[in-house]
Amino acid sequence: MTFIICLLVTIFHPLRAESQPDALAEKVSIRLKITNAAAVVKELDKQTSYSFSYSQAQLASVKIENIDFKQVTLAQALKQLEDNYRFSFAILNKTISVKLESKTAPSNVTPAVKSQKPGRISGKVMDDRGEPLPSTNIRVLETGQTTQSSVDGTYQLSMADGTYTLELSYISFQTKRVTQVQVKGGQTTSLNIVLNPANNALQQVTVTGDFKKESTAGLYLQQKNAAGLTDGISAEQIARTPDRHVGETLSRITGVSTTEGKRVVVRGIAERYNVATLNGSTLPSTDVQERNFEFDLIPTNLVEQVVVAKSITPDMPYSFAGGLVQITTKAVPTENFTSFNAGTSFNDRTMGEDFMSYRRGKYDYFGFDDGDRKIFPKDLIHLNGVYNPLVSDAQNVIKAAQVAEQNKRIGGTERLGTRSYAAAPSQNYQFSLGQVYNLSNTKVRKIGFVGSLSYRNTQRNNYIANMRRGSWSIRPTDADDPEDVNTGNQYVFNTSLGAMLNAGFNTEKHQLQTYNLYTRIFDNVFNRISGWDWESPKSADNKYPGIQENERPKFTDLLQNKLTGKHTLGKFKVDWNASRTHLKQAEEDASSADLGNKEYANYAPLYLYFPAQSSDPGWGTLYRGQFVYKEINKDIIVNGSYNFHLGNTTHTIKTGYNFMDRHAWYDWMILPIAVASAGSSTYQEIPLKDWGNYMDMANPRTSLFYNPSRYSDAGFEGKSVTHGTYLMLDNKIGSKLRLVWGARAEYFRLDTIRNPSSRLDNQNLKLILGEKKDWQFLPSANITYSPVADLNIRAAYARSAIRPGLMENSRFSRYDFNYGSEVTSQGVTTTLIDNYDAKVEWFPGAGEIISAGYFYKFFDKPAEFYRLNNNTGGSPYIALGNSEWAKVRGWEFELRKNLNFISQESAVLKDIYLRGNLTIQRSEVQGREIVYAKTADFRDSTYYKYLKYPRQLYGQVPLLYNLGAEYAGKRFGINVMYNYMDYKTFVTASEPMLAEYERPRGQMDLQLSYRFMGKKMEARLNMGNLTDAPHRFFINDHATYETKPGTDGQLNLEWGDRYAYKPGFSEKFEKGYTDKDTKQLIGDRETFTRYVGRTYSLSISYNF
Amino acid sequence: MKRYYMIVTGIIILLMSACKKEGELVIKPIRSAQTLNFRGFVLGDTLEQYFDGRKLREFYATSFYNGRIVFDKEGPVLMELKRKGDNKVLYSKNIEQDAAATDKPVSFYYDGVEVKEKYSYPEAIPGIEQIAFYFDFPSDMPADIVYGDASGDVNSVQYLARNVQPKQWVDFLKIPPLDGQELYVFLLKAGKKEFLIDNNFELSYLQANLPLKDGYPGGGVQSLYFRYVDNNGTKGFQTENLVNIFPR
Repeated sequence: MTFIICLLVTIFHPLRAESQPDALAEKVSIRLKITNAAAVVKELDKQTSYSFSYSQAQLASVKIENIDFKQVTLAQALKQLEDNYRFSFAILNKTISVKLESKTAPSNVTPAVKSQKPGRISGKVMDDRGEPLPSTNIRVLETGQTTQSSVDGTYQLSMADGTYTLELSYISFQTKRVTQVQVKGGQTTSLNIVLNPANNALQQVTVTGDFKKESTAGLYLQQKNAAGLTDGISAEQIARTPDRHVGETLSRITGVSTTEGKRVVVRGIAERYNVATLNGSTLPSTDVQERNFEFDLIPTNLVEQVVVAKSITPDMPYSFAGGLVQITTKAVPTENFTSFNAGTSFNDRTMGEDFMSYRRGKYDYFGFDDGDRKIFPKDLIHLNGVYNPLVSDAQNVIKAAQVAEQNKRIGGTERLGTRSYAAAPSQNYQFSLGQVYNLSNTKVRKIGFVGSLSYRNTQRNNYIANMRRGSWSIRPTDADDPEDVNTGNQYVFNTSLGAMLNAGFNTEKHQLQTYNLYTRIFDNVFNRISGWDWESPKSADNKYPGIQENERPKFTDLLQNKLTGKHTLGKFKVDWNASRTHLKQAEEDASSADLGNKEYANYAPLYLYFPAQSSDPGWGTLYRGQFVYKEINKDIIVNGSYNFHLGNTTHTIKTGYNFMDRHAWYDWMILPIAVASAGSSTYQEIPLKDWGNYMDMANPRTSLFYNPSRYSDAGFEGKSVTHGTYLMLDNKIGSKLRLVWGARAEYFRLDTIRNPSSRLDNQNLKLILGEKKDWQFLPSANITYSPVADLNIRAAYARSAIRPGLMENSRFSRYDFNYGSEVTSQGVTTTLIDNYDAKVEWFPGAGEIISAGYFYKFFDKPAEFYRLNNNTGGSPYIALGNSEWAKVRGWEFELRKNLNFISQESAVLKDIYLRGNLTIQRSEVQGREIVYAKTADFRDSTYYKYLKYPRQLYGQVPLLYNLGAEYAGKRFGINVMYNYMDYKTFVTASEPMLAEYERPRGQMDLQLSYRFMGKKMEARLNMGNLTDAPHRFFINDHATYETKPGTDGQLNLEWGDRYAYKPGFSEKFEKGYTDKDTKQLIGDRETFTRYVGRTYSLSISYNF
Repeated sequence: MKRYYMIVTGIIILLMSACKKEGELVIKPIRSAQTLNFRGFVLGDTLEQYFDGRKLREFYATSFYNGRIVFDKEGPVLMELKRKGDNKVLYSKNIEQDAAATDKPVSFYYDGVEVKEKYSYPEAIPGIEQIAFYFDFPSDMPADIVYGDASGDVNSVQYLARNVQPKQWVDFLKIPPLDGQELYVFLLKAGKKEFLIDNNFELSYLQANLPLKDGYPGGGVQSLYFRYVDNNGTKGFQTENLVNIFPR
C-alpha cells in the first residue's frame, strides 16, 4: 500500500510545477526612438529566453516613435504593445507569435497575454518511397518563418490564424510549394508532403500543389508503402477504440486474429510463427512451454503504433512466417499534452457471482504479493530415497526431526483452501504526460519526453460448461444423463501496472532516443472443476463427482531499456539501437488439489481435501509449487544505408548487423503435502488451512509433511546467441517499379546448460534434436509495380528460419489444467520456411483500399503440439515436436471503403467506412510421430511413424474474416465489428480420436463514443461478445471413423489409406446420436466448452 | 491543482476499499461430526429432505440413511421434510450438537397426508398371522389377492381379498394356519382367472409368509408394500415389510 501511495504521489507531483502558468516574468529594458515594431520585437527576442515568430515585412511597416521599457516584465511589455499598436501575441511553450491585428480582425482572436494558443502545422516530409527526408528546408512564404525537418522527416510550425503557402526544398529533389494551408488557433493542421527527385540536379524545378491535393498524396504514399504486405494501426486510430491492451487492438488489423484476446494468429498461422518486437527489439516468450508473447502485457495508452509486417525484407532481424508484430511506443511528442483516463467494466458472467480463489494477499489489487505466497526457502532437503516415514529414524538417512524442522521453515497452510469473494467491477486508470522543448528558433533542436502510468484490475469468471479432456472422463456413462457432466469455473484476477518513460533529442540530422518500459502484472488463474475422472466414471457406486482445484498466481515483470540513434550524413544514413529486456515470471504458491467426496446426513456430498501419498513418485494429489522463469535479452542492431540516383532511378543500398544474446532460467520447486498412509489418514475433516499444525513429525507415521524430491526441485538454464548480417538493395526505377531484394546470413546457437526432467518417470527421457542448422542463408525479394498511381501489383519471396525457443527444448513437463494432461517437449529443431506472396492493391481514395492476394508457404520441420498415447499409464499427453513438412496456400482479401460514393453531398456518409478482410487457406502436412518400442533384445528404441494428411497446421484457421462498419462524426462515433474464425486445429495427432479442434466462433463487438466539453472529454461505451459466443472444442470420436485393416504396422501412409469416416461423419463437428443399446454417443465428442460472457465497459478520458 | 489531488485521493480510496484479504471459506471447517441414522417410509407422494434450508434427498417408499452429520456452525442443524408438490413443511427437527441427541435413529412415516414419527401396527396374536397389503401400482391394475400351491393353477386358488384398488391399504387380514405344506400368495387380475402380470405365475407372485398347519405356525405381523416395476420389459415387484422398518 505504501508503495502505491508513494508511486501515485510521485506521479502526480510534477503536475504542480508543470501546470503553473509561466508568468512571462522575465525583465526587459528597451529604449528606442523612431523605430519600427520589428526592431522592438527583435530586441525582446534578444533579451528573453523566448523565441518570437513574426513577419518581418509586416512589423517593419509599423512605425514606433518612442519606446521606453525599464525593467518591466515581458508580460507588461507585451500588454503595452498590444494596447498601443494593435498587436496580438500567441504563446506556445517558449515561442511567441506576433501578429498585427487588422481593423477587420475576427473578434475571436484573443491577445496572447490572455493565453490563446496559436495554431500549428505538423507532418512528415518523405521521398516517393515513403522514406523520411531529414533537413528539408521549410519556409512560410507569408511570414518568412523557416524551419527544417528532423532526422525522421517530421516538422512543425507554430502559426497565427491564417492561410499560408509552404515551400519545401531539399537538394536533388524538386522544390514544392503547397498553397491554401489553413491554420486555426489552438488546432493542428496535419500535412505530410512528398518530394519527388529532380531528374536534373542542376535545374531548379518548383512544383505547386494545393493543400488538399498534397495531403491526400501524402496519405496515399503512406498507404502504398505500408498497406501492401504490411498493415497497422496508429495511436490516433487506437485512441478511437476502447481497447485496454495491445492484444485487443491486434484483432483490428487486417488478417490478424487473437486467441483469448492475447495470443496472435496472423493470416491464420499460429502464434509460434509470429514474432513480437517492442520499439524494434524482440520480446521474450511469455509462455514458458511455448514460443509465444502475450500482448495483454502492454497497455494501449503507451503505444504509438502497431504494425504487422507479413512479408520479409533482408533488414528485418527476426524471422517469421505469419507476421512480425511491431509495437512502437511514444517518444518525443509533437506537442505538450496531459491526459487522464478512467474506466470501469463489468462482465455478465462475473458480476453477482461468487469469485473464488485461495486466500488473497493484501496487495493483490496492487499487483504485489504480501509475502503469504513466498514459502519456498532455499536449500531444501530432498526426501526421495532418504526418508521413509514408515521406518524408524535409525533406518533413515534423514531423520524425522530434520523433516519437522524443514516443515517449519516452509510454513503453514493458512493460505490454502478455496475462498469465495464478491466479484468487483473492473477498473482502469491511465495518466500520460508529454513535453517538448524547442531549444532553437532557427534550427531543429527539440528535446522532449513522454511518460505514462497505467493501472488496471480485471476480474473474470469464465464458465466451463464441459470438460472432457485428458484425465477427465471423456464421455458420460449414459450419454443422455444430464447430471453426468464435468463442469466448473475459471476465475481470473488480474492487476496490471504499466510505466513508461521515453525521451529524445532531435536535430535535422541526428536523433537520440531512449525507451523505457516497465509492466507489472499479477495474474491469478483459479480453476475449479467438478466431475468424474477417466479412471472412475459415474456409476451407482460413484454417484458424486470429484473436484479438481488449481491455482496459478503469476507475477510478471517486464522491463525494457533501449537507446536508439539515427544519423544522416549527406546521402548516408546510419541507425542503431541497443536494448536490454528483462522478463521475470514467478508463479508463487501455485497450488493443486484433488478433492474427494463423502456423504454426510447434511451434505451429499461434502468435499474434502486429501493429503498426497508420500510414496507417490509424482507431484501428488495436493501440492504447492513455485515456478520462476527469468529471461534476459540483449540486443544490438546497426544499419547503414546510402541513397543515390542514376538517371530517373533512385537506389538505396543498405547493410547492417544484429546481435542478440538470450539467457533464460526456469526453476521449479514442488512441495507435495504428504502423509505415510493417505488412504487411512484422518485429516480430511480438518480444514486444509490448519494442516500446518500437524507437521511436527511427532508421529512420523501419521504426521503430514512437505515432501520435496530431487526432480521436483530443479531448474533449467539455457542461452542462445544470434548474429545476423545482410545486404539489401532498394531500387526505384522510374515512377512505376520498385525492387527491394537481398539476402541475410544468420548464425544461431542454442545451448542448454541445465536440463533436468521434472518427473521421476522421465528421468531417462532423451530429447530428439534435429540436425544442426546454425548457419542460415536467407534470400528475399519484393517487387512492386504501379501501372497507375492508385494501383500496386506486388510479388515477394523470402526464406525464413524459426528458431526454437529457449524452453522448447526443456525436459520440464507439467500438468496443464486447460489441456487436462501433461504438456512436455520431445525436442524441436529450426523450422525453415519458403514464403511466396502475390498481391494486387487498389486505393480508390484516401483511407480506402481494395486488395486481393495469394500466398504459398512451405514449412520444413514445422513444430506442432501432438497428443500422444505412449504412456504406459494409458493417459494421453501433449508434446511439442516437429512434423516433417507442411504446405500452406491461401487467399487474402481486404476492403476498406468510404460510403461517400453513394452521395458526395451527404455529411454523414463521408464519415462512414465499411471494412472487411477475408483469409482462406488450405494446408497439407506430413505428420511425424515418435514411437517408443523395445528391440528383440529388450532394449529401448524409437522410430518415426509418418502420416500425410490434408489438415491444418497446429493453431491454423482455414477461414478467417473480419467485418466492420464505422461512423466517426465530430462528436458521436459508432463502431460495430464481427470476427469469425472457422475450425481451428488445437492439438494435432496421428490418430483422429486424439486430435482436437476448436469449432467455428464468431464474435460481435459494438462501441459507442461521444466527445464533449469542447472535445476535451470523451466517453466510450464498449460492448464485447454481444452474443456470448462460447469457445467449443471437439474430437472426432473413434465411433465416427474406421481404421482400415492391415494398416497398423505401416509407417508411411496417407490419411485416406489408413482411415475413412463412417457415413454421416467428417472431420467437422457432427453431434451424432445415442446408441440405444450401449447408451453411448455415436458422434463427435465435445471436449471443452467455455463461456467468457458479455463485457460492458465505460471509460472517460480527459485531455488537459 | 485541487483536481489532481482529488483524483489521486479518489483512486487510493477506491483501491483500498477493494482490498479484502479474507474471503469466506467455501468448505466450512467442521466443528464436530456425530453419528446420525434415520429411517422411514413414504407413501403416496415424494418427500424432500432439507438441512438448514438446503435440499439433500428425495424420499419415496423406503427411506433411510446411516452415517454422520457434520456441524460447521454454532447451534443445531434444522432438518425438514417437505412435500415435493407444494413444498409444504410436514416435519421438522432440530438436531443438536450433542452425540447423545443422535444416538437413536430419527424415524418417520408418511401416509400420504401427514408425517408421523412411527408407523402403527397391531400387536401380535399367537397363532394368527396378521398381514396388510399395499399395492403401489398404476391405477388401472386392480387385483385379487389369492393363495395356492406351486402348480400355478388359477382355478384352485383361495381368495384373501378381491378387487383391491392400487394405492389403498388392505387392512390387516387375520389368517389362521392353513392346510398345505407350501402355499404362495399371488395376484390375479381383478375378477378374472388370470395372473396379474403377463398372466405369468412367476411374475405375479408376492413375498408373503402364510401360516401353515404343518409349517410356519403364524403369530407374526406383516405390513407389506409392493411396488410394480417395469424396467425396460423386466417386470416384478419391489417389496418392503414396514414392520421391519419400524420395529417396536
